[in-house]
Amino acid sequence: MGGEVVQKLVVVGNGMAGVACVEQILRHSPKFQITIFGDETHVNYNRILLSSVLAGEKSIHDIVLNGLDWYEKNGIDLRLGVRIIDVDPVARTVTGDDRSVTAFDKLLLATGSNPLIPSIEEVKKDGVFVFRNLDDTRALLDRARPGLKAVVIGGGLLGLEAARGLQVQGCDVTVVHLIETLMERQLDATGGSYLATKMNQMGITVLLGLSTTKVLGNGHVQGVEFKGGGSVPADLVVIAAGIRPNITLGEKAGLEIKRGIVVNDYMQTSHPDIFAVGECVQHNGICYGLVAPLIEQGKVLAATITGNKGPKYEGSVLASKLKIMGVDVFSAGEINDKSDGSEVIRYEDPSLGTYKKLTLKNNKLLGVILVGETDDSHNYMEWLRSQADLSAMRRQLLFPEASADGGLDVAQMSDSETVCGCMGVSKGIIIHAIHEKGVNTLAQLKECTRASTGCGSCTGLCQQLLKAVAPEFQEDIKKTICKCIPFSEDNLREILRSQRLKSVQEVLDIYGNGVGCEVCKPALSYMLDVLWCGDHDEDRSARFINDRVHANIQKDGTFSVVPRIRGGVTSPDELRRIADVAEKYQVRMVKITGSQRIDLLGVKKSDLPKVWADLGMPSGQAYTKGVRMVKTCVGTDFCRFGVQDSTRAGIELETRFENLFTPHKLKMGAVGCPRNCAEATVKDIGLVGQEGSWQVVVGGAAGKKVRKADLLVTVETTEEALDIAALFFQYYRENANYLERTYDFVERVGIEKVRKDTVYATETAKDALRERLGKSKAHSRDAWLERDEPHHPTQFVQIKPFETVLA
Amino acid sequence: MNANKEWACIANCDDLPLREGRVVTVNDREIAVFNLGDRFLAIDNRCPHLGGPLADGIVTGESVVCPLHGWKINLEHGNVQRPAESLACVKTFATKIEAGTLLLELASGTPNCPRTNGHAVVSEAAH
Repeated sequence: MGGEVVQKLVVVGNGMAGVACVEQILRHSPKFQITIFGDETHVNYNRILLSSVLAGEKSIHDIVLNGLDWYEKNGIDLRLGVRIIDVDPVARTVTGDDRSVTAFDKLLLATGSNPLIPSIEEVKKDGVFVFRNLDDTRALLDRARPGLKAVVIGGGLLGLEAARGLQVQGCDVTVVHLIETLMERQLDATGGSYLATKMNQMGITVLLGLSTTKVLGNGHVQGVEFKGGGSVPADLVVIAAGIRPNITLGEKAGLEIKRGIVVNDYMQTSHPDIFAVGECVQHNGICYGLVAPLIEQGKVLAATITGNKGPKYEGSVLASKLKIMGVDVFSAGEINDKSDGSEVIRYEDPSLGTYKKLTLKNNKLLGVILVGETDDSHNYMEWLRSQADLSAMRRQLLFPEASADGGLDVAQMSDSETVCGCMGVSKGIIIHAIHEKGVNTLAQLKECTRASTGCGSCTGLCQQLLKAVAPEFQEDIKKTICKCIPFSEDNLREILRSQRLKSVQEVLDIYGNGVGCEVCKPALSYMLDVLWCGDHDEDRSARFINDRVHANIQKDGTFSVVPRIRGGVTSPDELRRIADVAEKYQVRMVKITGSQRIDLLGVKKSDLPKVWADLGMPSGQAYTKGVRMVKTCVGTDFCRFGVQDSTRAGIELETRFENLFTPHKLKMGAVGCPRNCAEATVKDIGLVGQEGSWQVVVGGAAGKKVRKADLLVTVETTEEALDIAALFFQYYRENANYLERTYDFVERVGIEKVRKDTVYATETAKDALRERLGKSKAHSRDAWLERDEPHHPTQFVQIKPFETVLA
Repeated sequence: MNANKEWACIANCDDLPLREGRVVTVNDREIAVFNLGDRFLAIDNRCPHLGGPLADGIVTGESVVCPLHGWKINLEHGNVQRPAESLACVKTFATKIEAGTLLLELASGTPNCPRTNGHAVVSEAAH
């Protein structure tokens, strides 16, 4: 054993197929010295989740499958950024574009595929992209911005996912498809039209049966032209018209090539020591472009190459799932009607947007299409794989009985049943991992078995299995707001954005229980306000009474009124008006608050508009989760010690942020010297004046919790200090959970990350924060102006009965 | 009692916004009326806990949450749903719509406690 010769295995291609195959090889035998060449500069990542990166649902980091440590641990020589340009099958060497020559005993080609570029005139223009790898995704993210017109050429899986991603980035998106049916390789005409309707409802324009002939524009793309003369304007074009196996090296090695590199059932090419796997191969006449087949091929190839030749690759059942939140599409097996004795079972409901079609022959499932409702896809997939006789189940085929017991679903599965179709992981393998490898979390399960690392559609099933079997199962911490709407706030923000939802009731109807409660309604209301920068359909019934009448409800049902006194600086005239109002409306208590303001307590709801009018001062927002006030000291105007004009800075700060809403109440302070008389270091945002500079501090508190604020940054000028405060303010508004004070937010996120995303963010990112804040500010107004223009005629008044009649 | 069925003309339905409460005072009694979209419900404007104004609460389904301390009251039957252990109930009033006008039956449901109406005392656990 010890004397066994170590062979050199060279793998060309660092993508999913190549690396998955190497993982399998390592399981069989350590007798190879492995070198992997990858022309991208990244470690192996999950290519099919690139659309989730474009849609902002996942970060680049989230989709890494094998980190550098994995390569290191397994002694793999990883050559990133090197493209292999030649193969010498006789001398057994490969040559890189860095002129390196590497010898091999066995060569594995996993070169994948290239985007297919249809023949379109003048396609090489600035603004025309393909969507294939991480660099393409980065380039698109870099270019896409709100308001741009984007045209995606190709209405297949990838094209539609790209379209949705661009829409999430704010673009107006049009999908142009050559065929009359979207996703025609996966759907029939009816399924395609259901899908087109869904895409339209999302706000994506779908143009069918159009052949793009020319890219318009002078240097930079301005539109695309179609056969027959029509055209649409475009600032950005993405070509997603399909893929072509990358066979260049196969040709150079003199291998048998058809559409792809031809392999037999053992994944051998026509050269005894050259193997191929993945999208670059053709097996039994078929080139595959999905994950599951690559993994299945990799397993067979690993057995063959390590001398354990035995298992054969016999082709794969094709299954695909569209990864667009809110647009559920699943397709597997045979999709088209055939007159060969097969039967078709259909169900459709246009108003629900649900379409299901099963194709059966001799009571066995041949194919399935699901649009709008894909919960049962794993059942159908299993029936396809197992070719089980379904005669006993004919009545329930389209509507498998839902089980109330979540564990039952998994309990009914046999051990050999596949859970993860992409990675080919069965229930038995998962249970084994849980029992033998101490797997307790989804993350551990992914690491250990690779289950749920493909398209991610089996995640729910994996969770259920873990829950049922793992002794110490821990659900990934994703707190939902309440039971009405089962998503974390991060998810919700993403949903609201991508689905362009603008009212609370709409969100509850589509993603919640349609009813909502006192917990989720105000939270959703806030999220919509921030997301759309105030330009949403405000629903007062979703808000707490304080936000319906702009005053703070007291224990006896009366209200308190706190006018805005910016920076705590008032005038004799204002004070006189306040005193007059207090007397006129018999205010029960006039109180100087801890925030340098004056509170009028015990005002009746019906008096509120009159009180505001008589005060002639704006709302101090003392009743809401919003900008409260800036507490200031007298700074340089009068104080002997003041070194910064904190009064002016405080008033300016208050003016810039007033009338805006925040996740929780937000109090600020500005002090003219480190003596800190106005206690800025225990405020949500504080400006602390120093000789020649300002410290901007955040996350302070002196309420239920006492916390000294963290220093965000020190800057020289007042304008810089105000700008930094604005960046933090908007960052908090966008990223904190509802009812999360800055002190909890800063602790949860970490001040380093806050700094990175605000002070040290790129100018583009900073400008984006400023722009959204500016937009929100432009939409905001003093709530007390509703005294003249009430939001609703009976907003403040009691209703007077007309008369009493006898029935 | 039926002979004395007294309906009070309360308001134009348009004056009652969707899922928000409004107060109407009839014979010195504050009644909270709610527009649930498909029907109108009316209930004493007084939380059995500490007298909070139910008309100012957030509506959830056919219940309202008192703005003061979060008690949850069913608008249909008047029973307290949260806290679950409370047996208290609030008086409700029958409503009807005639030509866009909301009418309340003031004499209705005088006892109107689920206990005496034969409803379950606590029909739902607190959520």
